Amino acid sequence: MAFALPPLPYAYDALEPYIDSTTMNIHHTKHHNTYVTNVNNVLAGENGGALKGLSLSAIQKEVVTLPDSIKTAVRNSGGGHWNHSFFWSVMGKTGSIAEAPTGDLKSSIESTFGSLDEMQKKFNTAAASRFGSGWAWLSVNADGQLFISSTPNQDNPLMEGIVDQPGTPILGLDVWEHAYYLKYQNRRPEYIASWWKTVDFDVIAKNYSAAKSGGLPAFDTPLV
Amino acid sequence: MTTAAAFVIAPPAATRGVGHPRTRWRLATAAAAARRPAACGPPVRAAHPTPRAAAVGAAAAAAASADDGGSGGGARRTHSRRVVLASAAAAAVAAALGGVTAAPRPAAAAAAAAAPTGPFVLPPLPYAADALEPAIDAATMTVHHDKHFAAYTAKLNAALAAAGLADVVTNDASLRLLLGNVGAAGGKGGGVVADPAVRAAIRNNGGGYVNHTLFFSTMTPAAKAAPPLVVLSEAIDGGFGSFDKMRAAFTSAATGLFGSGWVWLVVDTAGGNRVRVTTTANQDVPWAATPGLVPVLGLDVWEHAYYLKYKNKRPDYVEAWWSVVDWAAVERRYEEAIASAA
Repeated sequence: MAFALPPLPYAYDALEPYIDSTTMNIHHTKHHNTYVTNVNNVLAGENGGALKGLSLSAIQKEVVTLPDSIKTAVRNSGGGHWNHSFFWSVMGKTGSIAEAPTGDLKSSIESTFGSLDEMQKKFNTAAASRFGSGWAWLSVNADGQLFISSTPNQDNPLMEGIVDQPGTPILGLDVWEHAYYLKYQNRRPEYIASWWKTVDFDVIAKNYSAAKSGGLPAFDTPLV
Repeated sequence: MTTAAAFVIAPPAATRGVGHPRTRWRLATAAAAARRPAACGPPVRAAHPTPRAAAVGAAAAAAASADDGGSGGGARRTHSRRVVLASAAAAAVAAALGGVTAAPRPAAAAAAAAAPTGPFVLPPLPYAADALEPAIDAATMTVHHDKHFAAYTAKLNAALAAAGLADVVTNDASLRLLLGNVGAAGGKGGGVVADPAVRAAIRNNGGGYVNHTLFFSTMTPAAKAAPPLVVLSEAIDGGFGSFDKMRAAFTSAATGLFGSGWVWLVVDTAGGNRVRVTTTANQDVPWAATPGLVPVLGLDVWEHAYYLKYKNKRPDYVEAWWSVVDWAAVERRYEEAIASAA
């Protein structure tokens, strides 16, 4: 069993001017691709059998149970593969995305955070204050509540037993420097603010609905 | 054999900060600072120790160089020495604060000093921004120094002010002691800075400050770079077998480090002055997790250090960086490290 790099759901320049096409290209064809290669190497190696047949999302939940010989590699590369596959799915080209939440998601955001604006402020703070490499997340916890968190490196909230606040992500933002440095350099807050313009709230709504019924966000994780 | 208890120094009653929101002490590191004059770049604000403060500093320096009296084999000696170093660092910092944890400043006072410009100052680049081309591009050097390093400096000053330590931690030697305190014990809820957010700010930005000071000062234009001199060469051969083996170990650590962090060539002053390669995550400093490690060479592998020119190709950056290492500066740091450990 081996994972394939999922194709980007849009052209490399689709997220301009918020995320530049060179970054999208390198981010997808180099960084994400390397995670795919590396997680496949673990699957093919000794002790990789423990992961055989598991979906990529299921692998995230299993990380804490893995033997030390492969745990870190799966956490880093399996996490990286899940995170980036998810990341591409929550963004889209202006004109083809829902630019604000509606319905159930909107009311839940308002009841949890007060307003969309308040939620974004909290998210932005989490994203800007994650020191070093990592991600910011909007997730649903075991009680069905929305919460915001950040994780280091390629950890994600599905990694129970690893992260402080486990849950099911419905939205995520890569704040590794490779995600923004070519266009924004040190100006991470500017990147974060611009990124919101790429978020497709229809996808987030679907993710939210799935998470509330105990499911997972749906995105492409093709096998070779 | 020296013990930690020997270094709990009670401050005189008149200056002990009972009932005061802050105690005012100078963390005198005159002795330690004198041993490392060039360790962290230009001196930024010299401490003016009182005789009592000088005694604290001398005791801290003595503790840092204490031997365990030859009581046992190598392994036990190393363990004892690390305990002495960690205890001495903790005791020196605690003593300087009158034995109380640093009190956070009242919100109004903190807001009034919203953007402190000291005590730490951004050291200028020792060469032009394009001096390290083609290994490191001018744009990266400019952003790295003027934005990232500058931000660590400003945020360090703000964090020290928030911790009530801006009058106490005023030079590189005292900052190094503090980083040893907040990075290790501090991470577990101990240490002299009570507030976890302020403690993290000191760890991250103080680490960023000392790490970048070392980084920029151990590089030089390729034309001026020369191989290590005798003393350091022998230490490297002793630690690794050969220079090439050290370079291979260092390079492997650099390309393999996941996420943001640093790779170091360190002198293990608690382990027979052996030269080793080690890594730290984010802006952590090597002596926080392992007291006694003194870095003599460091490589920043945060993506901001190489992304504009090298993108994802970190191995190419590492390879090119070797051509701009200032071995003379590294050797100076090595000699200072072993002299202060003697």
